[in-house]
Amino acid sequence: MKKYTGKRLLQLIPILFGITLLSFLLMNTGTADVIDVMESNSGGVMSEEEKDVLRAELGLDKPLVQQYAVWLGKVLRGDMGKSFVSGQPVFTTFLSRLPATIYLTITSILLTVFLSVPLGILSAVKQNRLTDYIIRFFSFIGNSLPNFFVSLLLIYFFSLKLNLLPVMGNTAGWKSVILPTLTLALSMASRYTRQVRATVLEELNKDYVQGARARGIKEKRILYFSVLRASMLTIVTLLALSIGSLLGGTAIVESIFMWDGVGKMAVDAITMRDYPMIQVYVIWMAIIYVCVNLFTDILYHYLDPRIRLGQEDA
Amino acid sequence: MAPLLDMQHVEVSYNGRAVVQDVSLQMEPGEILGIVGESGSGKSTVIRAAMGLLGNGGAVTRGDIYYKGQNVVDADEEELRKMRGPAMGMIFQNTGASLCPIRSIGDQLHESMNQHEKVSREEVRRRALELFGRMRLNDGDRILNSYPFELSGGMNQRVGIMMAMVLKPDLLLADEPVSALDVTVQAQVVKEMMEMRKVYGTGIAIVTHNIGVVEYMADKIAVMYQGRLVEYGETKKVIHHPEQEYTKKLIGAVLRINRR
Amino acid sequence: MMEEKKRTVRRQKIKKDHTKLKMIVFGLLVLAVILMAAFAPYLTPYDPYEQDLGNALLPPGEAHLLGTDRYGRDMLSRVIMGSQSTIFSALLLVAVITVIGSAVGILCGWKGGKLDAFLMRVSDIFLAFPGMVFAIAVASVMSGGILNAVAALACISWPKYARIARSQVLSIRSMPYMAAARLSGSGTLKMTGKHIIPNIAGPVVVTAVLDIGTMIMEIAGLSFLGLGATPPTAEWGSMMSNGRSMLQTSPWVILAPGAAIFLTVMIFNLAGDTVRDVLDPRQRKR
Repeated sequence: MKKYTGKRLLQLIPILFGITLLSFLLMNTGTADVIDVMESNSGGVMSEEEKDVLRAELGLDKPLVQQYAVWLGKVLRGDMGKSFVSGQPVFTTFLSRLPATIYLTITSILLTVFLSVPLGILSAVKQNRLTDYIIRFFSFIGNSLPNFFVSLLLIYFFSLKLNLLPVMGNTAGWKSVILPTLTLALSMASRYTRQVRATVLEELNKDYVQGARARGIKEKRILYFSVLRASMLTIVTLLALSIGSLLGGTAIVESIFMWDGVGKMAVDAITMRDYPMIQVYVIWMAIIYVCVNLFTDILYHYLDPRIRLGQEDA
Repeated sequence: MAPLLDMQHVEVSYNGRAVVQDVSLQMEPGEILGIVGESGSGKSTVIRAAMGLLGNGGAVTRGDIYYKGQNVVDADEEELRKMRGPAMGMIFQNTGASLCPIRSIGDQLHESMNQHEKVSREEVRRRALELFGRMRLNDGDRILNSYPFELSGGMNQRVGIMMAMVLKPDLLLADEPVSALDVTVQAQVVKEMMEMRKVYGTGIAIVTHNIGVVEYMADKIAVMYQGRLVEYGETKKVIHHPEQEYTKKLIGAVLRINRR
Repeated sequence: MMEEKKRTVRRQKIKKDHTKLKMIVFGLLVLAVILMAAFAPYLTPYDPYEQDLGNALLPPGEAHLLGTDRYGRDMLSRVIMGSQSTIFSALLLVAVITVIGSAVGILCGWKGGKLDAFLMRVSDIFLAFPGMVFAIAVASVMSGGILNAVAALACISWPKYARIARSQVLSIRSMPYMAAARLSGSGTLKMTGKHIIPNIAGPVVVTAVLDIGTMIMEIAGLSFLGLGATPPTAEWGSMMSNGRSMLQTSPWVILAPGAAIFLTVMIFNLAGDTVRDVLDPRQRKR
């Protein structure tokens, strides 16, 4: 297993290399460059000389490949660089934004799990009965609502009409996390309820369920000890993927609620063409991606004896 | 005394379409009944109906099924559940698939026994090893600690027999129990089922398309064709003096293959 | 005769299969939505771009069924007009990713080897990114415009189709009849047209139809962030974004386009589920 983990971590290298290069190229093929963005943001006018000096300072006058090589060299020495916009070390900025995103990730995943797992199971067990239809109806509605609309609706009702919760920001303590959490959890829970239902139904239709019935095992016991255990593999994998994408920050929701997380940071950095900032974010994404994959692999290893005992006949 | 299994004019439908029609069968305690027919003839459906395990959309729409005089069709789920195991046991074509893939065999054996009586792990093991011993399997502990996918097809079928017999049912329903096995292993598993009848007096209904197996094992044969019972009687009589054209063809086909 | 009477008869509840009816109803709804988008300019009660500052931010009423926005433009007209950009760009997007993704997938599955390994790593990299952030990056590099939003979303969405097509091709390739076709001397092109495309069409089409709703939401999302349609073009996402500051005073400027997105996405999703039921019967009754 140790060897395997090591191998997985080694795979991080080409992915890191690939996506940092990709984002570097992407950001440099744009029409606007960072100096122009900075100029228009400052409101003042810069002369061409001033711009050139600034370019030289930031290393932007060099060819693209060289810029990337310089950046890569610094990163390898542990220096992620400074933001073009604020002049602050990007790594420090990133770290200061991370807690907000992690906080929102935890709350929304917890709410999603609490809603979707029981509802999905219930819906599967009561397949094609009233309970199932009601649950499917609501998850269908949730699936058809874009989260920016949900967030505006929630703001409208809870903040503006009922005056119960703050509109935006993450400064009002626990109250400020409620609306972004609800927004994210509603759309995720709708999707998961469907997926949990499909997974459980698929397991329920397998031969071993009929086998267990033939041995006189109670339906509840079949469900809890065999079906759910087998379904958990799929469900946990899905959850791991979602946690991964939530840790990457949710661009739209973080922007709407002015939630100072890494997603909003990335969007801001992108609009400002703040390359070092973007690159930190990209590295973070790659790390999450590899970790999520690693985590699910390890999980399968422990939960599924077929994989643990080396019977991967995939 | 009421017969072990009594089916009267049974019709089974899936989503309104009758797949088995007007089937009447009687089994006495300790009797071995062979149900033969081509695939799709409804032979497996008949024994599934006896266990109340028709699955989604399936139901007995006409007639009645009695186990020792007790109505099985109209029994409630919990009553039926209590009968499955201690009264009626079942062996599937592929026991490996009829067990949860991510739990060990010993664990699932312990689970199914404890659904019917309070038994300690040690007692479960003792009884399993006793049955394995009868089948001349000496590494019972290793089998109990295995997962279904780790065992060969033949070994899984023995596990299936053991798990069904460990609760000492009076009726064993076997759905193509040897069809997926090599010929040599087939013979062995057939002998082991016969042994079970000899020792425990279990009545066995075996569904198969293998006439040879039925000829060797069964006291009576029921021939099914397109959901109907076309011939039913003593094994010797059905094999050597079949009355129906279909039965003749079915037996003739087997003999031709055997001659090669 | 006498015996017949004694037999127990039980009535069985039969689940009716409504798939056909559903197909017709949802098919007609989808058609209605597409027709509305196609003939939008002829359906609007007012000019969706004509400003009338005297009648700004009117609540829904008789003259303006859905009210007016801050420039006095009729919301109903703008919502109808907006269907054009949102729905057609989503359809274009789905068409593009279906074709490109499947082509890459077929190529990978058919050729295998280094090309396959390389393209699959590339798709890994695309999948490693959270879709929306990547789309934002692409869209902002290309500086707005709804076609650029389509391109941005296409960049992140093709790998899914490539994977589906590839795995289908791989499973078909190992079938005996493919070997037979190869032996009988069918060329690669002929094989692709005759055997591969018909076989992968099912799963790919199901995915594509189910994706339309999602893509409508994503395009509207990018426009909401100001990276899709640019003002004054009527587009649901950007209409909602422009109305954000008026949420408290004139909620209809947000509710109208929001409800339009919701209804359209729902219609496409319902149709998508039904198409899946028809093309993929294994999934039915789930």
